[in-house]
Amino acid sequence: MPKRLYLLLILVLLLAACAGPAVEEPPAPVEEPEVEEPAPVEEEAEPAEEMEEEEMMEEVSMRFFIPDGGGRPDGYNSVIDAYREIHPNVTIELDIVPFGDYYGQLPVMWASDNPADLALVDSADIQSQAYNGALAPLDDIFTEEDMADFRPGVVSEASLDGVLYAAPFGVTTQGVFYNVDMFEAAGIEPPREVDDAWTWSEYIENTQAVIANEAANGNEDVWGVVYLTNPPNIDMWTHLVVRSFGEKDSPTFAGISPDGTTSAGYLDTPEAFEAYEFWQSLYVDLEFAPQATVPDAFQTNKAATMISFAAWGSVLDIIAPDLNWGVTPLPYQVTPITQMGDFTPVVSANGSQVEEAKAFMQFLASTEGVLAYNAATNMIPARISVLDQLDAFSEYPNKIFVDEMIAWGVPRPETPGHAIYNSIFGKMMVDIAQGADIQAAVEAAVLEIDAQLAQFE
Amino acid sequence: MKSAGWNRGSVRSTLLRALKQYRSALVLVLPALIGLSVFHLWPIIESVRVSFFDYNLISRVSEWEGLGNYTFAAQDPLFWRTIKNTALFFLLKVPVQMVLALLLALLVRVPFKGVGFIRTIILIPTVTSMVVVSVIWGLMYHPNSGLINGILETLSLPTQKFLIDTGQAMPSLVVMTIWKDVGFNMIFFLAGLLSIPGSYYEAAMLDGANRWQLFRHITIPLLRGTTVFVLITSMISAFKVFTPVFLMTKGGPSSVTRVIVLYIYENAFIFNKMGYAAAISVILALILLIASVIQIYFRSRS
Amino acid sequence: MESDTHIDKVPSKKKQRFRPLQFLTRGSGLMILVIIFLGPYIWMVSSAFKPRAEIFSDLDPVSWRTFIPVNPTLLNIQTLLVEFEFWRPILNSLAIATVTVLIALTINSMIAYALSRMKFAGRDILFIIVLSTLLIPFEAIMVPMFLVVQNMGLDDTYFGIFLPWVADAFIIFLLRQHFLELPDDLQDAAIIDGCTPFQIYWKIMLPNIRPALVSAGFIKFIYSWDAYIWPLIVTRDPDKSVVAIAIARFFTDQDILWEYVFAGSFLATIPVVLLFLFLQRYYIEGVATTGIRG
Repeated sequence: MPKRLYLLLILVLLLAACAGPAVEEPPAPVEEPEVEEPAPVEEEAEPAEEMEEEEMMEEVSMRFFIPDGGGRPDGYNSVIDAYREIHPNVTIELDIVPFGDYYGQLPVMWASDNPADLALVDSADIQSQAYNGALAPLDDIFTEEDMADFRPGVVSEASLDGVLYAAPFGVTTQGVFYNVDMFEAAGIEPPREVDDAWTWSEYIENTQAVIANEAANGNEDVWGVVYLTNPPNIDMWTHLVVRSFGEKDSPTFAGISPDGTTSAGYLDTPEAFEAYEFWQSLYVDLEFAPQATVPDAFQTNKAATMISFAAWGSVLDIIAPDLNWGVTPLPYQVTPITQMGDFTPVVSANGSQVEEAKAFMQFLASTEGVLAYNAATNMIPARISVLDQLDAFSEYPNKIFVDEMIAWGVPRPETPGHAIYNSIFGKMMVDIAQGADIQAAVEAAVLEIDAQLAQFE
Repeated sequence: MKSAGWNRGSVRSTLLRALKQYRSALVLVLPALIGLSVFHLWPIIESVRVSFFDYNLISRVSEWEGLGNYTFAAQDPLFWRTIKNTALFFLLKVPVQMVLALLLALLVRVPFKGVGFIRTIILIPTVTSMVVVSVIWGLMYHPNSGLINGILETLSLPTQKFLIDTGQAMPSLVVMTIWKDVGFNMIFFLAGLLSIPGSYYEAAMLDGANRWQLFRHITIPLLRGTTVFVLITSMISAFKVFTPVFLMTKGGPSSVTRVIVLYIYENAFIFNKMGYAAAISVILALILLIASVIQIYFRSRS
Repeated sequence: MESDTHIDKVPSKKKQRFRPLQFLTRGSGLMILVIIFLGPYIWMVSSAFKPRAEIFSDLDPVSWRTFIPVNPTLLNIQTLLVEFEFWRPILNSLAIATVTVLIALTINSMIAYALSRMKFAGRDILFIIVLSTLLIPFEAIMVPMFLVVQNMGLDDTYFGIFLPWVADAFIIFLLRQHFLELPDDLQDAAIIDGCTPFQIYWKIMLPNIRPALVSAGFIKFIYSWDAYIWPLIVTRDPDKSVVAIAIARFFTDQDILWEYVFAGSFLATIPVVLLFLFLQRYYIEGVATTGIRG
């Protein structure tokens, strides 16, 4: 091997090695080795009362597994700081995972010999992970007053068989962001109140008028609607369109059988097929939405509207400060709907510090905890009483997201197999958008979903 | 495979030598073997064990299934479909990629002015992260506003759907991955070409051989070891393809690009069926093992 | 497509005549090659120097503006390096890749030599076993692999990131093929000179597969440099983050920070490209090609 090459490599190595310690932060508190074998999953540890009596002055170090983005690291760090003021002996480190791999990394983390003490779980997946024994029950850390203060839909999603497995914390809903300049130029003013929300056909008709007006003024190839990725492949975006085609108590609106194991009769109703036809027409006949992602379309004037979360507004203020945007409530067909859901904090059942983690969780979901989080990052709280204290959601445009939640909010279809359901249903909706035969696509998806959900019967 | 010169001398000294050689072989083999055993073989054995269980990754509950996962695979139409898709990916990709890689290696073997630059350029796609490559190609393949459709339009040709068309999705994926991986194969061919002793060519040229004859009778045979290597490793990586599919099509449209490792991933991490995922992995490994051994065996005989 | 590379090497008496047609076809052929392989890369590089608003707005229709930033800015790269401390993952990845390559070349060439040019019982079976570690998809074994590393106490350490990957069947296979191809008389001559097997390996065989060693080292470098899922599983400390993870952080559920994705990806390719350009000098014919050194 050429000597000079070795020399170069060693040089680089030394450089990196020297640079490392030189810039290191002050040493973090020594992590206590957590060699304790996790208890078998079947027996859920009953909350040990004596722990609360004890003065927990010994050093406690915990890990909190969270997805990056959405202001979450700042928000949770802010809560942790507030907690440490009361409990200086407790340190909580955030394990921040890139969002795109969070859903894949979570099962690996649960399966390891040393799972994180706390984690965030997409609210629709709480039941699935509780079913598999990954989550510690949290009933005993909330009083009846607390439970009454949490928004019912959030509690329902966080519970399995009447036991609470996650701390109701935040809620996200969806709305339509629109390009104010384009709509004004066409002389159209979208509704600002939830009660006046457009139907899907009104929305499309009006937006098409905007597009035609843009084309007449030289701005051709403007899309009617885009999402962050197109066509969207998760049920957060797609299912609300389908569910809206059913009556409030219909199988179409429910999306899945009450026991969460059957989709036949729920995803393949005549109303659902109507919705699928409509979804396909958006992409194929009307060419209203793009069949593959057009990055940054909304902020570069290539799309008249974009459907997203409330937080998208603050993102826009940073990345496109000159864009003049507004928000209008989600359109509906028969039943107005928004799907609630958010990353929700849970305690690992197999961690070695379940009680300490639960104590933090109690603080996190308290009024103080929510306010500490909101001091860093805006979030619609699951606590009804706290909502009124937050100015950020009392005015247009953010008020729309809150009003939607109060008037229309429901969780995504509840099933311990939500990840399976979401994966297969999501792909089906993409296929339909890209021009697949609807009948065949739906039949295949329903068959596959029900075959997989059989494990939960 | 033969090492001449080791069998001379008396029986006694041969034995002694064999012993000595065994010891020195052990020293040479051990470091890598320990690494492979601890970090790869052991997890593989664990995975084979799990394939006989109904194993849930999160709950860590496992129930003995015997051959249940394997008999289920035999009857699972989705599994067969993913095998078929993967085989198609391999057949479309590997032969074309190997021929192109060899041609490129031959082109940049000659030391002409700027050859280092051209070599580097061919490698650029290989060293660019798949995430960015998938974004760029996604935009080039865009059915509505893509670069390729733009070119087709300029030439008054009909525009295409590429990744969202059931017939074109797999070939489109193949073209993109060939573009990304051809430089990777080229490096191996280049190294192989550069190892061929120049004296062979000189001797043949003195005998009046022309270019084609040189290529046919010296380059091809002496590149056999490299070719076997490139073929086997390309085959293995084609059958294990995951990231580009996951990033670009997620197995769609209508499951035409749902490849076997994607199905393994879904079973392990979405469908809560780690045991079944392990069983499919074992089947895949066995298929690849048989195919590799046959190739190595036949090549070393000819 | 020239297989007659040695024509150039053989001292030719007559000067090559300038042939315009050949020059033109060859030139345009190379040009097309450059466009195909470099085009998307140029777009990526130019995007790294564009303000966010212009990255995708210059894309449709494609024009020179797609490839050349109209309002070039260093802000993306500056923010990336200063605010996001991108230099840290770059240094981490560089150190990890360097160590990996050095160890990998040493131990894998040793076993490859033994598997190709030494005789011992069970050698071929051993090779098949080595090869079999290539066959199982990583997705199927990553959890047991993680448990091994965790039980060794290597999680969240640099060792945990690279140690599992230094022994590499791919590299072993590559080097074995090249050892096999060396002429037998090379080894015979050494034996007659009384070299031990280790001496033969180190002094005779290794120098003769130099192009393959360079390729193997480079490939190992790329593998290590691109590593993503494994470091993600093993490390939690953001200070130990590697390049691919740092870039993946720019994809969130609310937004994709494209300006940093492109700037980061561009920076990430620089060390690899420089390394390959530097390695060019070793992509020359091996010792065996010019005669046997004994």
